[in-house]
Amino acid sequence: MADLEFETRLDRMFADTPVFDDREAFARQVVTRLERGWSMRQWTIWVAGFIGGLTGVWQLIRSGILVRAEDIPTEPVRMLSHRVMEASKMGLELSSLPFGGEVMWAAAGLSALAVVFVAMRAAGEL
Amino acid sequence: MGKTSPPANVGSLHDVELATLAATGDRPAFGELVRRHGSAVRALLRRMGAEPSVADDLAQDAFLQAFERVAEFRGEGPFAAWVKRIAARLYVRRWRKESRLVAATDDGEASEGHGGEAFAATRIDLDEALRALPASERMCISLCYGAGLSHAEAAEALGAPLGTVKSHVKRGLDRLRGRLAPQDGAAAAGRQGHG
Repeated sequence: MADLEFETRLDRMFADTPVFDDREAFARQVVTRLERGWSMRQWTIWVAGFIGGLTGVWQLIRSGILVRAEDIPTEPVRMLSHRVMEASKMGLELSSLPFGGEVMWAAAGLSALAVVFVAMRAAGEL
Repeated sequence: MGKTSPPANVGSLHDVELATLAATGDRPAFGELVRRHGSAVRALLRRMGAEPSVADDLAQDAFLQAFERVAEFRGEGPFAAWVKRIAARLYVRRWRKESRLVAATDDGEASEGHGGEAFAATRIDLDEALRALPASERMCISLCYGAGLSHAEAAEALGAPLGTVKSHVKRGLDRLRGRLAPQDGAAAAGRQGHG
């Protein structure tokens, strides 16, 4: 019985903690670290998504999937894929472009960027 | 008003509500939880034997970890107790890494510098009494009574046999009882006086 009383008292003593004067500063530090960690994570996702997007676009162009898309019997799709195929050919023959290959790749990069942005927004909404 | 001072509506919310908000990524809500319970977590780590600066660093780590896992908090117990358990485990991990456990199992009285009778004659608070315990007993007592771990959970966290933890707790309790006894006597006298 005495043991139980003492243990109860000990529980109470442990629960009775002082309030530190710098508790506001401590909370601020934790929130700052949280913000920093969150920013780092967002940047990591952004960079990974960007690289992934670029790789995806590159693989799409190289795989010739756009050429195979021509088999789809729908007229608009065929026209679109034909255009894209021509564009991708132009992308591969960079030297033949009137405005330079960099523009083509910048456009592809921007597309990838857009995909990443949309994905991040969607992730944020979730 | 500070930059991170919580809005009035956040300050008036219950811990469980704040935790629910934090689970959706609401950092100001979590900041309010840190403001409310930071001291308790820091105090526990100091009572476990951590240096103040180490205790503060670990408390921050514990809160960051708590934020990551806040969706797991169901409000079945106090939020502070939940974070304390996380913090205690973090400190135990660090303590074990520093190989203090092995040394501590055989260590003697941590600090008898206070002097037996003189120590007992003065009003002794818990912090002081804990400081006088051997590290292993202090750790086991803090884990079980401060962080609310069961003996089995403490044994698992410490990587020590259950029997060892139980005997550390028992010996620690006996020592604490001796050191904290004067207050009991005073309380008893006070009760008689009012009686």
